[in-house]
Amino acid sequence: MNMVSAHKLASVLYRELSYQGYTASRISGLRPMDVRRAIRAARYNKLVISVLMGFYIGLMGTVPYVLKKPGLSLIETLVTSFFMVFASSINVVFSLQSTDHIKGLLATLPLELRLTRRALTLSLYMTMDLPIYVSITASMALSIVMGGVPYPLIGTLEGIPLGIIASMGFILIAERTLRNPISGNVVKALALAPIILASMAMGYVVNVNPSELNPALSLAPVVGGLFITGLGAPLYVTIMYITLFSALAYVMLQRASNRLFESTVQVQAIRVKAPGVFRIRNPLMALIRVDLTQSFRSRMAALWALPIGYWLITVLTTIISGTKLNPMLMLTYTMELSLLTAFIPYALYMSELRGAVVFRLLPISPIRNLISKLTMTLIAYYIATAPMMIIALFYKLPLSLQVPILLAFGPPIAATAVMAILFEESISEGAVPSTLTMFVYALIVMLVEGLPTASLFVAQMLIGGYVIPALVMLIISMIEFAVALVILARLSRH
Amino acid sequence: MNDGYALKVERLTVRYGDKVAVKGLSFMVNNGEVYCLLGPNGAGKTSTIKAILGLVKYEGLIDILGLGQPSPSVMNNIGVVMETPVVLEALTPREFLEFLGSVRGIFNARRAEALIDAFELREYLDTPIAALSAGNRQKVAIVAALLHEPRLLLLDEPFNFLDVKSVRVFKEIMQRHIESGGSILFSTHIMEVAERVCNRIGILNEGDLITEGTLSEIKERAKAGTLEDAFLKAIHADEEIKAILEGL
Repeated sequence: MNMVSAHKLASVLYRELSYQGYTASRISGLRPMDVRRAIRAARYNKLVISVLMGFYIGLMGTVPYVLKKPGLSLIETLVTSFFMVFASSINVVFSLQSTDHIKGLLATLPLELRLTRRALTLSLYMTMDLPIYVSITASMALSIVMGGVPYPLIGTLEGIPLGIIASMGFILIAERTLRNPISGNVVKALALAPIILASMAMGYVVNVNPSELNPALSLAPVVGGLFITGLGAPLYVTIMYITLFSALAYVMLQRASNRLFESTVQVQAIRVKAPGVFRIRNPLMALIRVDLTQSFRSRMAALWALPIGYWLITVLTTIISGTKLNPMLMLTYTMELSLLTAFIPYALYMSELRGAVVFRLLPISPIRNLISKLTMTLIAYYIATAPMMIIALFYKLPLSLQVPILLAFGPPIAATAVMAILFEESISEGAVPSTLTMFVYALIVMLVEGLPTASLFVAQMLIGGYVIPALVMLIISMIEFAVALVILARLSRH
Repeated sequence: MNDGYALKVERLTVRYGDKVAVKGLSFMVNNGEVYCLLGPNGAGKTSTIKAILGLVKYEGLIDILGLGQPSPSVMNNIGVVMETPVVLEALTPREFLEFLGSVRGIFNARRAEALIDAFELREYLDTPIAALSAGNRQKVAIVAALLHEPRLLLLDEPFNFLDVKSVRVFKEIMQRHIESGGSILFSTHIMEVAERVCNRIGILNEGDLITEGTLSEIKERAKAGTLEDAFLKAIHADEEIKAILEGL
């Protein structure tokens, strides 16, 4: 007879999962300086995600009402809730490497298989329960406040199960492949794709005009909801889809939890009889090479695809849709690309967490490490913006527009230095940054990027032209960079 | 270069929040000796080594090979094996060793080849480290620690996960390192190992250094026949164990 309930067992498992997910101490090799604080922070993590989720649902759901396109609120809340559920639960996948000890522990306990399975499903659900409740409440409140068809609530109710299906589907694929060094890398690289696509889609949904949609789409999932005007076929079809998605989400959750903990997948080793050849490089080149290798073999790999995704979704759709490319639009695209590039050093530093101890034990100063990241940020920036320069020439836009395109590397460079400080700080605390800290990081990066960007546009409005505003932007970002460098040098000495 | 000592630690204190893991610890590792830090679990051995490496915040003074506190410039003179393998798991052993050699600017191909053969890693050279067994990962970490012929080795339970053959090989390498003038700070809780490899021993308990000396000095002080008995007496666990056994 089992003396423990599934819920009680699940809450214990959940605490371990969330702690491992928060600290990643088994992965980074670093122990949090203050374990009690880390345990508390792991618990608050979910609360922070919930608050953020409620906030974003409210924010993104309101925009279409302001634009007098209330129906689109369904898509905005759907994409937001999908994005948030996927992003918050996907971390569980990456604590896969940490779950061996949980599997081992459960195997030694006299627990009925059914109870264990229920507890495992519950514990996985607990990683996302509060954010789900908060987002449903927020969308319900928004629907009541705005009146009419409850588009925000419908969108959220569709987005949540879809987010669960996507993340659990990913867990099921990843579980099979993560330990295979080749396919595992591909799967990891794809992990962020839904997040990136969802975040980009949010910005472009507002351009859709629901009244121009083909009526046949009223029977389709997701967009069918846009045809709801009251009781009728579109509403019933949407309710049917919500029920279907929810049932599927439950099944996927159950399968993923079972697979996650009961797997007997063996470590797959590729044995190659290798000749004894070693290539020794210049230290900086070696650092760059390892940074690239690590980032491409980590879940951060997809961040490299951001500029390409941006090109496909934004620039090309603009060109294909026949929108006239004017200098200001081009300038906006350049600065958006610049902002996206600012997140590449973030990916590089985060993928370095895995071997943080190794880096600490090598003669690599934070400044040298920064130089490696700066080199890659610059390469990424110019790879992303080179087509922009060609397009500007092709569309016969003013030649002086090439100057801001050339110089908009400044803000990402400043952001890279700031990221270096944040990385050093978080490592010295011995813990992977919490969601709140990561959110703050993102805000800081945006602020560092935003200040010179704003100065560019302000100078453009005041003075006109593109050369002087670009120089103003560059000077401000170089000041930011210099300040960050001084702080980093002080940290290095410490 | 300092003639007398390889490592000097004075008044070292390490705190994790409210918990003080190491309390004002002072000791010295002389050139050409193996200094063992012994202690029960949670005594502060690993925290001491992490502080020496600058991996945790600490108070006090640490001088490594007369070059000062832990810093990137000191790191080329230290080899480290931690209780869990310190490696970059996304890389293969070959990529990892190439990276270390490149960044350190020190790479002796013959030594690398010899170490790879000594620890039977050749067939795994192109396998991602993440896919290796715990024992093979530890072997990669050991080769990485020895590759640049460091003067000071910091070993925290280095025999974890290793098979008998590799333990013997590693012990022999340690012996040669000492004979060539190198030094080792060795942390363990396995008394038999300490008894065989250490020149001097410091016993830690709850963050305090409670006794220090050569093997014979420690045994004599505790009036004990073995290091294990001396250790248990030093941490006042002998009576406790008696009481526990009587209660069973």
